[in-house]
Amino acid sequence: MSSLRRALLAFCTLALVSAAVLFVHVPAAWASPENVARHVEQQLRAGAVSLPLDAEVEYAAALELIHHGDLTAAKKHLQTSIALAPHFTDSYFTLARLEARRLSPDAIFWFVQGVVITTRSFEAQSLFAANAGVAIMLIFLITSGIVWLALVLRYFPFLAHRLGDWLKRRFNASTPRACAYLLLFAPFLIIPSYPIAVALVLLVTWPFMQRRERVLAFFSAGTFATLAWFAPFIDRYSPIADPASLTALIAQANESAADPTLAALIAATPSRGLDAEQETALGLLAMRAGQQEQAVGYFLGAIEKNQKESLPYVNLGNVYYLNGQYDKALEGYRKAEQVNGADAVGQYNLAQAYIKTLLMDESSQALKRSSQAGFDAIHDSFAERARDTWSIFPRIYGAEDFWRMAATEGQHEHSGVMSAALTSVTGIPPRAGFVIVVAALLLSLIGSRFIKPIKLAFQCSNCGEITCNNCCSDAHGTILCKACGKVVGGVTSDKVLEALLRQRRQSVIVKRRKSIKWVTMWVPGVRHLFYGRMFSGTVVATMFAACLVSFLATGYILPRWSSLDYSTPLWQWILPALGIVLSYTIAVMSRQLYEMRSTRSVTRSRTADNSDESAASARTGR
Amino acid sequence: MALEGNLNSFGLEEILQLIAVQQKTGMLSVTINEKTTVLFFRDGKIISTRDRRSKTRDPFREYLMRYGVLSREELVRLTQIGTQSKLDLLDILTSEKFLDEKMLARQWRYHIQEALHDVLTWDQCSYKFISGDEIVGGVKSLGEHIVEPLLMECMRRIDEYPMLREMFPAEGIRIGPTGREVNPEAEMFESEKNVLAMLKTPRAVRDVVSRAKMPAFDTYEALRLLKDKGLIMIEADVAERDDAPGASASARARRQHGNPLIMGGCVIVFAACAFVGAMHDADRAAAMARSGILATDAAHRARVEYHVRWLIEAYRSRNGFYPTDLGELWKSGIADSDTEQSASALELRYKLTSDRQTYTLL
Repeated sequence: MSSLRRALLAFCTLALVSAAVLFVHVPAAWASPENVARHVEQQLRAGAVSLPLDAEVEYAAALELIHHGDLTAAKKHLQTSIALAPHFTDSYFTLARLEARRLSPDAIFWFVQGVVITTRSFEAQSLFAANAGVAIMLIFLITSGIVWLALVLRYFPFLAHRLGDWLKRRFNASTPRACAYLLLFAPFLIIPSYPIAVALVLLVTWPFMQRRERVLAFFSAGTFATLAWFAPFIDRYSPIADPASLTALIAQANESAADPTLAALIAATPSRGLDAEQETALGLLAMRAGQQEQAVGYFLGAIEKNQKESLPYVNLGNVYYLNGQYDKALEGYRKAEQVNGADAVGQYNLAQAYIKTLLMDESSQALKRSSQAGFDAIHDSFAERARDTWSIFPRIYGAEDFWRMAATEGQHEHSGVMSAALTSVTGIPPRAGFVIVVAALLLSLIGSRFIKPIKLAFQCSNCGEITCNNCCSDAHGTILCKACGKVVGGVTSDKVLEALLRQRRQSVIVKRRKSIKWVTMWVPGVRHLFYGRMFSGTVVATMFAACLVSFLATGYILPRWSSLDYSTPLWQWILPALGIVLSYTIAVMSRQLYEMRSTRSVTRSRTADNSDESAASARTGR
Repeated sequence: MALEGNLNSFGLEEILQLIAVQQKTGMLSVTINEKTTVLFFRDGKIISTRDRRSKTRDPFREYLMRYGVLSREELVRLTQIGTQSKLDLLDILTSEKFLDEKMLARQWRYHIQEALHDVLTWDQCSYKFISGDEIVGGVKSLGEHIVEPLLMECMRRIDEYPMLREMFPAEGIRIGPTGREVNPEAEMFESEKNVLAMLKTPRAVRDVVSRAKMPAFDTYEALRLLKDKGLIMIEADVAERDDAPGASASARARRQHGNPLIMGGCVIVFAACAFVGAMHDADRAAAMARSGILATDAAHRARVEYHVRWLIEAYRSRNGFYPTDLGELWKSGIADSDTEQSASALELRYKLTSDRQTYTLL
């Protein structure tokens, strides 16, 4: 082979390999470690307590490394991420996953740590609460939707029979059953909304329902009504899902570096009952920015507005401490101790101030009290680099403080997360939905007392086909549909009667089972509910709803706004998809042998006949 | 044990007599060409001709149909019940009292007599007798008949039948009353009375046969006796029977189909409701599909804005500077397409200051 050919072949091979590598993996823009380190330094210099942004950047780099199989480097990035922001929970769980892949027992440690941190972090708590609230609402709405769908499939044929019968008699309508279905479904389309659909289904199917179905329908409608009624109350906690709320801004200021934009935002936001907290947050930011006088002013303002809170006293002491005014600092810390003796940070800082004023005994006692009050946990919640350089610690708000703040702020103003979600999904504001559903429930309960059974369609006691008083036959001592009546018409012997009815019953039931199977297989749980298996039907429907919500949301319904965008892990698709497949399998494979029958006894029918002249005349005519 | 052969070895009469004398229980099947008749015996007596292994052909049903023992409506009903109930014909007949017991027993006997008569007229046939109680185990019967009298009657019929057919050579010939009064003292059989009652107006022979409720031979015999008595006479051949007129079928069909305007009205109502609903809720559904269920939340914009700010800060942390525009942010791989779409939907505007140290996002 000539050298030219060899060179050409080598060039082509190289080009192909390069193209393949580029095609297979186009790396994302890598973070420069120097840039991140510089940013971290800036933030720490500006007094940041925790560095969630930089932690996320590290976390993203770790994910990238995991993707490329470099697990050791990824682990280092994850540990760095935890060091930068101990409350950033994703790092713990990813570390647990990495350790689990190595079958290391450390996986359990990291997992437990992740769970513990999740329970302590306000951000994790609020994200979990908001998502859980919306997810539960969606799961409930889908499950109850399946319940209503099952009731529609079961009882609309009864209504369609009665309506079709009337259309046939009154107008001699062609295809009366199809006409009846069109008329029945038309109201659902005028205002397509969940409460109106529920109300319509309740009103028209309640008289036909069995006791168990009524109980389930009542609970379903009642739960919706409760949810709709209490949605505005739940909305009071909406500030947790609103980054523009004062609570969210204070939460940012709690741990962030000095940020004039954030300070301006907090100052510009109406206090909404959080005057002291607003001043405190501004004080914290001013303190981190080195604006001592302003910080003192803010903390004094906060103390003036709420003297029962130790946090501004501690931070006021911190400002004096950092200025070298240890006596004044000591005064601030002692005042904080008076307000809240269990303030761990206050006690620790008091101990440091005692050291500076050479009161060693008092210092050791204060340190002991600090330790008893749980200082270690608070200490560990700060960024590793920050806590190593501090002699005293800033007193910041905890998760329970933010929940209180959210509730207080929500009483004045909120974005109405739950109401908005409910309105989006149901199509009607919650309170209006409440009124509609409750009115429908009451009307159904009242109506069922007054609606005469004679007016309702029912099932043939032999074949189970739908019939009504206008078309049924009770000539053989039992209520039979028109077709069964025709089959046994003129038959006198019991033996033949039974044989005929048995044959018809078998042929009709086989056909109906097939049609029910096809109609009810599309949504899991419908078949169980259709056949009266309320509990198992609700369980299957709930499982399907949960998996569907999980599949569509792939992690979060309300996404984390203070987060980078990550590609969804495969398991977040596969697990819910498997759940959906499983629920469909249960729905398709389940054998429902026994159908609940809405039949009518002969005596009842005859009694009713006497009170219904038209029905009687119709029967006579036939 | 099976006994089989054809008429060259033993005559059918001899076989029948043998079975009767020996009081055998079993099944005798006689075949000519592809036609088979079956006779069931119990202790030498004929109990049935109905081989229910062959579901398609029931000789007793054919008999009842052929001679008008049951009316057309009754036969339709009988067939319907049989099909739907899967009960045996004899069970239905006895249970439903289509015929009284006496009449049913008589018709059963007539039917067996005719079946035997039929078989004995076959020239070249083969036979096979299978004995055993299990053969007749499930065979239903309305009466057992001794072979000898039946055989004797058959012989008589075989002798007389050609003469009768000579008298009434075609089934289409018309027979009518002569108008002569019936002598009350003259003895008349029941069959004669029946046939005479049918012939108050002229009828074709086949018409009489098919309604006489007795075997053809008995009808022909009754006709002969009546003719001999001068009570009936042969008129002429008649054409095919009149068919029922199909008057006003189209009108009935129209009545059955019903009024199509109602269906049209219902479709219009349904479409109108769907249209109103679509107009009313299309925007909401589109918004929900576009931005999720929390799109109407007042904080939606704040969340998206905050998220974009977070990404911008992450970009800065990575690269040391802010992006020049949002497009650069999207291209960097920090943000995904959902964020880009949300930001575009909310028309977020990003502007970097000249020193690239701060930015505005509105």
